Amino acid sequence: MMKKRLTNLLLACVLALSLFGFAACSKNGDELEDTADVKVVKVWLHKSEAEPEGRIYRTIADMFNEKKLHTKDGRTIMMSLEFKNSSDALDSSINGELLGGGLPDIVAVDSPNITAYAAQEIILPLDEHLTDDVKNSYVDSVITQSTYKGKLFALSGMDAPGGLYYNKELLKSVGYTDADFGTIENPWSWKDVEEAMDKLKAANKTYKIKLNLGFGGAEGCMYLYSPLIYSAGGQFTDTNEKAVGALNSEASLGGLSMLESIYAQDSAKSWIYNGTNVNAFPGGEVAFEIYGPWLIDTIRKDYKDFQNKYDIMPFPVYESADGTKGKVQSPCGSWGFAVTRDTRDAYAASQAVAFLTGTEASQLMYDSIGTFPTHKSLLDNEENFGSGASKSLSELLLQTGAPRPRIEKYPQLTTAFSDIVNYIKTAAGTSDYNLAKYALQKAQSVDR
Amino acid sequence: MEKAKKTKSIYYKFLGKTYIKTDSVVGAAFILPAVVLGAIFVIAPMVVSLSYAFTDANLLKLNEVGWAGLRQFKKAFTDRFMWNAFKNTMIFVVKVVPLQLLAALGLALILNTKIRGNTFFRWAFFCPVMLSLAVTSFLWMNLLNPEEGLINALLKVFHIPPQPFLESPKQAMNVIVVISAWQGAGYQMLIFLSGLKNIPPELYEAAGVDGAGSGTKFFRITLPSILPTFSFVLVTMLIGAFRLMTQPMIMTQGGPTDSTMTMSYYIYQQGIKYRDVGYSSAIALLYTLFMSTVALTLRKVTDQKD
Repeated sequence: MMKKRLTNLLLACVLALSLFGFAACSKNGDELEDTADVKVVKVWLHKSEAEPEGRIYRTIADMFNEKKLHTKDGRTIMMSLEFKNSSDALDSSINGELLGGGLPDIVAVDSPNITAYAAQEIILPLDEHLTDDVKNSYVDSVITQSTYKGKLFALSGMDAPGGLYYNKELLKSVGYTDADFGTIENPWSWKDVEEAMDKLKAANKTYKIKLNLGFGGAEGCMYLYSPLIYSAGGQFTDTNEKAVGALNSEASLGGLSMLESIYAQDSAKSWIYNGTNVNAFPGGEVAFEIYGPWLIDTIRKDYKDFQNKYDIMPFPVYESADGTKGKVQSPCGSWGFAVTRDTRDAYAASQAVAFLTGTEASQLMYDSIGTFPTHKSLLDNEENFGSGASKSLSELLLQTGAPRPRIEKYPQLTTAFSDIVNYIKTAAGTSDYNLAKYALQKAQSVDR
Repeated sequence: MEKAKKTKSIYYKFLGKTYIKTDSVVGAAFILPAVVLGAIFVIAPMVVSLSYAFTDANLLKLNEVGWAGLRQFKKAFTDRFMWNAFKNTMIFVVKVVPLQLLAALGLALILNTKIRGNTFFRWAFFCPVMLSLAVTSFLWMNLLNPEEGLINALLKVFHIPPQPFLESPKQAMNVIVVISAWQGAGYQMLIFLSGLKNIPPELYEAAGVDGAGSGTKFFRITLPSILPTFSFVLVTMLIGAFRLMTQPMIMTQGGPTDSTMTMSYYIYQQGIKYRDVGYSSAIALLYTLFMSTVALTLRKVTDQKD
């Protein structure tokens, strides 16, 4: 009896030890450690190594380690990656280490979070460790979104400019010519898009638009639709970072009314595609799509016949009642890297950030997953960006990229904006619809 | 003498009761992992959260926590979005608890009869419980897609216009209620079934001899016999319903127009997404007090009936 109990106890201990063992072994990272000759720079990533983007980071780290760059005291800098598998898991890990001082040298950071991290001194300025040549290589939108109080806190090797994908062939079939399509100088407004959809519908052609309002949750909504506000001359917050009076200002509401118009009439015209086919645009189910650069890669690889039948024009601009059009503003921004306050060698970490986001890494990302490079020299490459949709998007990024708002209360703001856009989506055209009132309530929720 | 000494060393007394030493050691060893894990992952976070409720703690600067007194609680009482979340949660509870309770009891009653394929049905009804909430949420999102979803395709067959479901502020919460009841009922069904199996068949036989019909048998024998089970299921279901978060988080993100924002999701949003740990903890404390009061009152009422 006693022997049996002891056996059970032993089994329980073995089970517990195994569980702890599994937990310990499940760490998704390298096991490099500092030595007298080697300085290890640890990087936390928001991706899994099983994903294409994660695998690219592994390649970039290997390339960096082969370069054998040196610290100021002559040690070889080696990069060690830890894959946190998701942005939420990365956030949790960062939050968990804020008190204990166990942050790695470098963390991946989404562009809108840079301000909050910089304001709380979780990440360090990079300026003193990077030369002007290095900094000047990046497109302006990257520098703008990564700058807080005049100091550069992060760098990004990829960007995601967005615009209006349009089926050139379809539009030409109802009388449009190349000269009619929207450009940065002479953009289409939302009213022009509506007019084109009307023409297509009248001609019994595919006419719908895919708005991707559910793409990427609240953050995706801010990424794709912040130009609505900017194009109308509106702002998300005032100079004191208050949303009341800015998010619900006349200009901002004017910008939002462009979406309101399309949704209010949608029940009668069925303009908006609500299906689940991610490739509805190249598949010929819709005539237009508001989206980032990823579709270019999909079309290049999987819809070769469609390659010459489409292009991208600027995100539709605001148009006032008297026909005055707003300025082109393009969605942009992506994940970058920053050096944390717990780094053991800020110089070495900064060199690693510069490499992780440098021209080689940026080009590798473009080739593999279709994100846009963030270096002017790469965007000047005629072969990749000299024609077609890639050229259109690169011009948009260089000339009209509008970074998302940079405030400490960005999480509240992005939720509030997404709620407002979804309110338009679900309530526009109904009897109790009141955008101004709803926008005010949401602005108050940000300032509270 | 030696034997008595040896016997004495095996036993020990604690609070007037005699225990065997080795039994206690083995028992303690078995509960030790649960106690340690419970202390680390349940008790300690509760204590920390309780203390944060009186501070202005922010997730990004937990080393600079300032005393806020009752400020966070005052803020909660004037927060219209919190009250909206509270209202939505109550709507969910009021709708889902009776629906799920009746569904679980109904299924248990069906399975308590000798029907063909009883084992298969038991497995089929329990199946949704085994699936992850996230998985079923995504599954239902596809089924309920206004344009391409299977549900609207079926409605079309019956000449019913397509419904917006999760995209309508009027329908979204009702959809979540139905999905939650579907997913959860299988578990309560099993508990009810075990309660039903414990009712002596002689009671039904005697009632049958006395000429009692099915309705009389159900209300006079079945229901009173499973009342303790019923009470347990009701309280656990109620607490589960108060904690609703996964489905709205995945399917609607609290929308459209805040119609599916629940208290648990709101607490999560304030604390994790907005990093306002102090405020989030204050709401969590208030909500815990509310839930405890409701659960204890209900328990007391049903215990009295027992």
